[in-house]
Amino acid sequence: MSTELKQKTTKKEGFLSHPAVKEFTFSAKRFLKNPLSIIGLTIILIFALIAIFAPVLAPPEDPYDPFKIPHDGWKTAPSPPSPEHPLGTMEQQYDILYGIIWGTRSAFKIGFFIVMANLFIGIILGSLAGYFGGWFDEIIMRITDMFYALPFLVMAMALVVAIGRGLQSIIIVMIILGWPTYTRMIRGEIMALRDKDFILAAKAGGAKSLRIIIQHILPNSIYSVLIVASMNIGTTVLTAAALSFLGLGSESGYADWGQMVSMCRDWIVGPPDNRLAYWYVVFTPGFVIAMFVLGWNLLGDAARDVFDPKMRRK
Amino acid sequence: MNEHILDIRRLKKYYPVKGGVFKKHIADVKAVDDLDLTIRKGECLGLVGESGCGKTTLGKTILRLHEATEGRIYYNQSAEEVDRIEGLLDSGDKTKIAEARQLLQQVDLTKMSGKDLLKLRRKIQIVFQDPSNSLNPRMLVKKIIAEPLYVQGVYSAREIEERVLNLLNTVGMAKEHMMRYPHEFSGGQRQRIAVARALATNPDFVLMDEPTSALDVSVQSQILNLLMQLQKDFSLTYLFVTHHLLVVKYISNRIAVMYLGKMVELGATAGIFKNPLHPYTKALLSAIPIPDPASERQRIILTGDVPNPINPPKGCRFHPRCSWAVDRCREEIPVLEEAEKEHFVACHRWKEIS
Repeated sequence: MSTELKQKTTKKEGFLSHPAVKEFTFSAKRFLKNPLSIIGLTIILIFALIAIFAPVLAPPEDPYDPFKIPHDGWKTAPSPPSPEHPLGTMEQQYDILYGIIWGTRSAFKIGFFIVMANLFIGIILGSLAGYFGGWFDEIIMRITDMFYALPFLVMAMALVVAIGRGLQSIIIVMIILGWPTYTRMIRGEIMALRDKDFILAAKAGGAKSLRIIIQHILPNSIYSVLIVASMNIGTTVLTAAALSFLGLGSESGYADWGQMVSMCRDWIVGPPDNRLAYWYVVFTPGFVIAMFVLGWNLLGDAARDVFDPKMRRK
Repeated sequence: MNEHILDIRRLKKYYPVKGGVFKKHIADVKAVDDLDLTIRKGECLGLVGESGCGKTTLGKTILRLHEATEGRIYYNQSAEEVDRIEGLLDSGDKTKIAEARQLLQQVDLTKMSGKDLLKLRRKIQIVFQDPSNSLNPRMLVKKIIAEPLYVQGVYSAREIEERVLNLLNTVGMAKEHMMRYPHEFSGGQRQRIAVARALATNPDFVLMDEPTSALDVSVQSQILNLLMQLQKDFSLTYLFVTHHLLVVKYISNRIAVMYLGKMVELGATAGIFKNPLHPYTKALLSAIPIPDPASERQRIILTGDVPNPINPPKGCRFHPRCSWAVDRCREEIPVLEEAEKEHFVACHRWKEIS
């Protein structure tokens, strides 16, 4: 049994001593030395935990439609925090705490889904355009120019209206409008690497284009793009919230931060004798959105310093 | 027996210059222009010339990293066969030219593609100038060396592993270096890794693209000695591109001197150093420093710059900078002629000036 154990431990050491793992632990250690990255990581982890344990933290009334915020009566004016509603309620007594908790899930969904889809499209189109150049590059780049020429928010609003309002439409539209940024970025990175000697060496060894892109170009160029993408998860959620705020999001009562701010548009300013009477209705979802964006930005910023091969070891 | 490993005939490599809104083709950079060169099996041919004269372009065209504009590079063909095909091409007879074209598909490496090209890649390899650029920074040394073997698709994983280890030993490195990244090594070690990669598929011919010029002087000689040892052990042929004349003197059997895309002189190393015939070669050799402060020597200092290869001078390309130039040099392009045995020069006046 002891020999078996010994074998196991050596195997584990073997894994830990693999240089790729060593590189990663080296980076991770540096990452954790930076206080800003720890703050960012903590914020995102808290949000992640909230999203994961949402059913425990705020049990839904209808398990099949958990994103519907329960409301307690039909009173129009929001009510301030109370033991039943720790963060208060919005108009028609929608519970703010419930909305925040389940809204975290919406935020992750929106952020990840849009950014992943954009990255996917961007990596494929950007690699092809950057590596092969020629007419394909020309077409893709002129299309991205067109997208850049149009104001993002106006285009997004027009398209959402055309598809039909709702959170899903916002996601679709932001994917349609978001990919050119990533495509351009990846294309630029790839063009900078395309004529490097190690690419030529791979060619001289007989490697095919696909292999060169996957084995040689992407590992050297993807990091900066991934880092921008991680920062964009926050901003994407912010933009989606802006669209929701403009009334293009889901129906009222849906647990989405942007939607919640939108619902409380009429209550930003209180009655003349007490202007700040309803501060909690806008402050709480707004604060949460800001923290979410901040978390991703700090995380991305710290990750850039550590994982970007051009920045590290300096 | 084939004594020529590469037979380069009338090779041209033009880079198009495009301008205007519609990217019209307005001119060509004539990097390599109508060049003939044979490389013999087992020799080390030094290729010298100043920056921008087309040395590296020539090398990369041989490697098929750039596509030749025109011309033929015969790989491993006998002199008779090459002459026969060239004869057919020059005959002016349509059917004969068609026949030659057919033959070229098999023997001309500028026309190979697919499987043939992949096989050729095994036999023709390259070592780049700067190993910090030529090794993928995110790949383990093991993977870097194994890549050409892997890409060929004819070796098993175990064979590859063994071969990588052997190669590392061959270039004077050890097993523990396999699992490291290139940035963990010194310049000399990195160049050793690059050499190991070039040797991975057992090539016949290795293009050395200034393999020592990015290294410390102390390491240069180590690498040079390693390269010479490897050449002997594996009976390799080198084309050694450099602008360091003493390196070339040390390692080469023959030297080819290029100027602005043309060959100006070609001959045995000793012959060229003892008796340079072309005025450009003379100027180059006179620029080698002599490690003796008391020695006095006449230096030939060239005036002006290398002319623009988009619009090279008419006639002899060297004439604007040549102190012996006469009217004939301005009109007529000199051809490479055999001045002494095995010593070729492209100059109208070599007899008068030597």
